[in-house]
Amino acid sequence: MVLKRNYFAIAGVITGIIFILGIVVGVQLDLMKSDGIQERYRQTELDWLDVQLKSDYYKFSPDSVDYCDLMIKSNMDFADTVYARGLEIQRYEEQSKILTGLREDKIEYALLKFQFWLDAIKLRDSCDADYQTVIYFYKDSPTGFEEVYQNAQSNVLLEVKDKLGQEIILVPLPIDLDIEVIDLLVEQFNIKETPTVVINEEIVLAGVVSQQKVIQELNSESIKTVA
Amino acid sequence: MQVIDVIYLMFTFLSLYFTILFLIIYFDTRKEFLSSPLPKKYESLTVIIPVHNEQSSVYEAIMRIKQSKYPKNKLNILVVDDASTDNTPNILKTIKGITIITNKQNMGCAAKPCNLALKNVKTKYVAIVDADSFIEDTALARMMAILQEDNLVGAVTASITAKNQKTFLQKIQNIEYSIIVWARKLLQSVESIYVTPGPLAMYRTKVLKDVGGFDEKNITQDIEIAWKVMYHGYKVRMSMQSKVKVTSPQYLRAWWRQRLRWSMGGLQTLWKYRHTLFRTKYGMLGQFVGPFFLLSILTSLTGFCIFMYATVITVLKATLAFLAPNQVLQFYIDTIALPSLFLYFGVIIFILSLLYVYLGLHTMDNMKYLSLRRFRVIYIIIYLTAYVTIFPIVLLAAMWRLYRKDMSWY
Repeated sequence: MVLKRNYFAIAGVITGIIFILGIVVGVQLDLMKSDGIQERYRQTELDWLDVQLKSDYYKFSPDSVDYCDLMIKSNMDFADTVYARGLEIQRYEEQSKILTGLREDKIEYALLKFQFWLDAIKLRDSCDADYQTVIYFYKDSPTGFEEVYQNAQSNVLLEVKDKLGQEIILVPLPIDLDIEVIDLLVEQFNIKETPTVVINEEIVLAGVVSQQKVIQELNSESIKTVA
Repeated sequence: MQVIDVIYLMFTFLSLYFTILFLIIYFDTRKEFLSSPLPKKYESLTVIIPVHNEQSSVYEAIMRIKQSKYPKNKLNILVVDDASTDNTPNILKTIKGITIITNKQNMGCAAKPCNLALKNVKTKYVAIVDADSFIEDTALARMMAILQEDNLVGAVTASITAKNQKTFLQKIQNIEYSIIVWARKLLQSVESIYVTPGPLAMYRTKVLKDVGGFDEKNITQDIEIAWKVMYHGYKVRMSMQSKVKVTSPQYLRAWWRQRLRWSMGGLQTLWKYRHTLFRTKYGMLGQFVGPFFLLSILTSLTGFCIFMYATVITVLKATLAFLAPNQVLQFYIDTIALPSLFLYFGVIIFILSLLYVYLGLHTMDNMKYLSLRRFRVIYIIIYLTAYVTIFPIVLLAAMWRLYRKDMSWY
């Protein structure tokens, strides 16, 4: 028979082993997800480079008369990819409990999206396009309830995008990564909470808003702020 | 990693540790469970029965003691009638061969009548039996055998089983009582039985008198006395084969009051002996019983908070899902397809908990304790989910009562 006082030590050792195994498995799972996230970041960077090169190519190509149509389509496709990948990354990250790194990658990705948004506005003005822009401000590290609200809002916007297709360009931007240029936007639109949606750089919708409300505002010409 | 994640990991570690500890003890000691010798010599024994308005059960309770397989000339029955106002006094008068002490004013708790009776006890051993508890015929003899084995054993507790199983609640309690008996026997292996329940407990009279008898300020004197016996360096043992049947609460209101009293008494005891926590000079009381009690409370409350938090989040998610119904399915597919560390721990704890309950019920079933036959699996599932979830609420209510110094549990 095992000495009675040893029960505690044996239980401690077994619990420790299970716990350490759990941490190791958890780290491995997180690393796998981290690899997946990085792969998506790299892919997005390559896609963006492709869009920019296409833009240059169309300017000098014999079919340059179709430049606007081609670029709008290219931008739209890129926007769809960026948003879909953003959602994938968000879901990966929610399941990561130990490793929460990749800060530099996230900043790079956010800057890329910001640049894309600027280009989308320029393109709309230069080509007289009729698509609308929707910026979705979120937190990269939300607390419990914020995370739930952000999930709901990002799903709502995805459905809006599904319904309206190429009528809108959707750009999600994180506000808590200390990116100065995004902080300027936060200040400009007076964003106090997440999620917040800004339509056509004019209409600010704070908190979780329904599909109907977003679509209604997209169709509206008026400028208003909903606190 | 958020604060809630860290709390969850701590909760996980403690839950895992205690479940594994109990399983190790079980696998190491399971052959000893059935061991239950009879005494080498039947020595004089006094059985104290505190009574207050127990007209429906007192006669049968006393008769069960009188019919015990114990020499009649060695068995004294001392009934303390604590100012009963029903037919109890008349019933007691009809029973021959018992000594009755009558209080004119109700003393308000079980500890005082027991202490009063203890002053009149001349025998080496003394047992306390509740007036609504019905002992089996060899219970007293088997408990005495354990006291005779080791002079350091100061108290022996018995296996409490539910007598009636009429209502749904009583059937669930049948499972609960079985698990409690099993767990208590396991705790014996680490010298950590922390309660000698009122329905049936036996003590060495000298020990009981030396430690000052029952604490009259504690509303669960049967918990406090076990701690006090350990505090003075004595051991508490359990006789699995000494069975006593009690009437478990039929309805939620009575159940709530009973559990509130148990929780308040447990907390009172923990507070009284807080100075022993984590101190080796108090033996297992300081090294395990107190810390185990404290950590059980903490894990219970933490688990409840995590459960409530998860419930609120889930309800919120489910409500907000209507805003984008086409994406909900995809979200949950991703959640399942991307397992996390917490899911791993959750699955392990769930499997070990199931194993723990299965082994407990299997053991008790073999020993004919678990009388539930039909729909057993359903009752077990309800016990493991809904029933266990209520305990932290009782605990919180007990804390609130103690904070307000409201001791009116009855």
